[in-house]
Formats: sequence, C-alpha cells, structure tokens
Amino acid sequence: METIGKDGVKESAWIEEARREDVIACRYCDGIHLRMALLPGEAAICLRCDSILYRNDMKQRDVRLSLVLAAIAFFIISNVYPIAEISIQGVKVEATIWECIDRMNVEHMVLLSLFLVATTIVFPLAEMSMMAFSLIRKDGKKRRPSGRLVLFLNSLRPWSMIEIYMLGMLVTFGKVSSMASVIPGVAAVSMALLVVILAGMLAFDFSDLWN
Amino acid sequence: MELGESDHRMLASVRSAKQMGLLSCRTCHQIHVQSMEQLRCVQCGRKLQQRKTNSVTRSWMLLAAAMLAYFPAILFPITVIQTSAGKTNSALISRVIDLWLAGDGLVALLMLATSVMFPLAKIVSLAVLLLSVERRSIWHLRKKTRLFRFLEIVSRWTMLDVFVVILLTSFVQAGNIAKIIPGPGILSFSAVVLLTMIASRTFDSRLLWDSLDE
Repeated sequence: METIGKDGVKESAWIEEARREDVIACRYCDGIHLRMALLPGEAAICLRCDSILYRNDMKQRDVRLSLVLAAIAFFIISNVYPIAEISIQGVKVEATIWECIDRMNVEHMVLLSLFLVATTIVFPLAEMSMMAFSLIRKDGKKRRPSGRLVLFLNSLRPWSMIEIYMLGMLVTFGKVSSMASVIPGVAAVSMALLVVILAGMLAFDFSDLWN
Repeated sequence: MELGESDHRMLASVRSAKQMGLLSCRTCHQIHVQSMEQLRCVQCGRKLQQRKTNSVTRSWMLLAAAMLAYFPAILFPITVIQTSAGKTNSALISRVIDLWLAGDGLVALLMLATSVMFPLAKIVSLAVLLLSVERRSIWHLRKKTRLFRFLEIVSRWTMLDVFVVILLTSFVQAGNIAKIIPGPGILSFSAVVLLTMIASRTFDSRLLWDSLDE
C-alpha cells in the first residue's frame, strides 16, 4: 500500500494494521491521529488545531430515548398553547407560534413566515422524530439506520432555531414590558424546558448510531 | 517562516490525511484510501470527498452576496411603528443614533455592537479565512481554526434580531394605539445571516492547513 511518508515501510505497516476504527482524521485540520481508549467523560483533542476529535460520553440508550421523547412532548405543547398574553392599554393579544406565522403572512412577509415555519416547526420536528426513530430501531432487526438519514439529521442541526426563538421571546418580553403587561403563557414555559432538554441532549454522543 | 504560537507542537509530526493518501468520511469519520474519492463510504454510504468541492469559490460568492445585502440590512427600516401619532420607520442605524441622542448611550453601544457590528465582524472573519487560504498563509493557523469553530457555533444566534421583530409584530397589535409591522430591511438582514451561515458551511477549514503541508 502506498503512503507518502518518510519511513516508507514502517508507515505502511502502521497504516495496514491500524486501518479501520483505529485512525481518525481531524475535522478541522485533517491531522491523522490514532484512536485511543478514553475514560468516561474524556475527550481527545487534535494535536495541531486543538479541536475535539472524539469524546467518550454516556451512551445509555434508555436515557437518550426518554430525553428525545420528552423533547417531542414539550415541542407539541409549545405549538398548541399560547406563548404569552400581552395587554397594551387594555387591548389583549394572545398568540401561539402559529399565530405568529400567520401574522407574517398577513403583513405580506411570506418569506419570513416560511422561514419561521421551517426553522421552528419543520426542522426541529424532523430532527427529533428521526432521532427517536433511529434510537428505537437500533435494537430492532436492522441494526444500522440508513446512513442517509443520519447524514440528513446532522446537516439539519444548525438550521433548527427554536432556541433562538426562545431567546427572542425573552428579549421581546423585556422590551414590551415597559409599555404593556406581559403574562407568559404555557408555551413559554414548555419552550424553555425544551431548550434545556435540547442542551442536555448535546451532552450525549450520538455517533454510535451508525456503528 | 512565521508559524505563530507553539511551532514545536505543530511540527510534532502530525500528518494530514491528505498527505498520507487517506480520505476521511465527513459523517462517520471512517478512513479510506485516497483512490476511493467519489465512491461511497463503506460504513455510511456517503459520497467521499477529499475536500469540500469548490470550497473557496462557493464561499466567496456567498460572502459577496452577504456583503451586498449588508447595506440595505442596516440602512433600510426593519420595523415600522404605527401609533396614533403616525408612522415611524426605524432602521438599525437610526435606532442606534436615536438611542445615543436620547442619552441612552449604553444601550446604543450594545445595539451597535450586536446588531450592526457583529454581522460585519462575521463577514470580515470569513473574508480573512478565505484570503488566508488563497494566499497560502500559515500565520496563526490555530487561532484561525478557533475563529472558524467560533463562527460555526455563533452564526445562528445572529438571527435573534429577526425573531425579536417577528415577535414584536405578533404581539404589539393594539389597533390604533400601537402597531408594529416588519420593514423591508428585515429581509436583507435575514439574508445576511443566512448567507454567512451557508458560507461558513461551504468553507473547508482543512484548506487552511493544507498550506502548512505544502
């Protein structure tokens, strides 16, 4: 096998033996490293660029599945109930997330409403349900979920903006509170909890879904 | 040859996969031989690529579009406030100036920093990274990689302004007393954020390090 290396034969042998799971290339600088066993909670850092190569997180399937299912439950609640009730000089406005989307359509900002639907409804729901699906299927007959599914799942992650929507909510409440009375609704609370769960899910390593 | 911090660590014989004739699958990190480029990954079925296709070209195009969208985003009104007194168009720049003149210097600076400067900083950072790759610079490679990782995480949060306007529009609808509707600037602002997000995804930071290996 040919490798561009100073030591010629020596490197070939190393690569030959260590091919499959033992070698990893850094995502950010392409540096080649040998995989090592890690203690729980440890992370391996690239020698060249200091980014994390791989981690050893908790992999208990049961906990992850219940987290994902809880997330879906909170998500549904956030969609059904109103975010808040705001009264400006006696005029009450109560709105759910769907009413926000509708408002954008009314104001002729169709692109914005599409964007909102996509980033706060479609993408998070798709991501969560695919994750739940993969976790459930993992112990079934077919061990490996479709590679394309996992690929798609990973590419969706940055586009799921529900946490930012949550922060936007808080900022808006703050801004409006000077001229109106703000009563946070059920959806505000459930969305806050959803954000916490999503943050918690980051602590778990999902890369074993395709191993 | 200026390498930046900790030269000795970088020279600590860490080879890149490309140098060793290897290819790493982007999703499952399975290592393959270089000749398998354009074929499917053995573990997850994804098409293998040594580097992201046309990374520099595509990122520059997206960045140029973002630069163009930046000016209307700042100058055109993003909210239109209708009160019983009449309509007020409010662009980001004008809001900052108004706050400053009203004596609310601290909030004005905060707004300037987050809504005006931050998207600009993102654009400039990406431009720096792209220029770095084109000029095969090896200055402070680790700092630049760290910058890139930071951009990846923080990019989406720049959308905050847009969400605040959307929510304000939804709630401040008290007929004649006060009504907020989104202005034309909001679309340009969203465009800037989205374009910089996509630009940082098409950029392959490994290209920065290829200059070291050459």
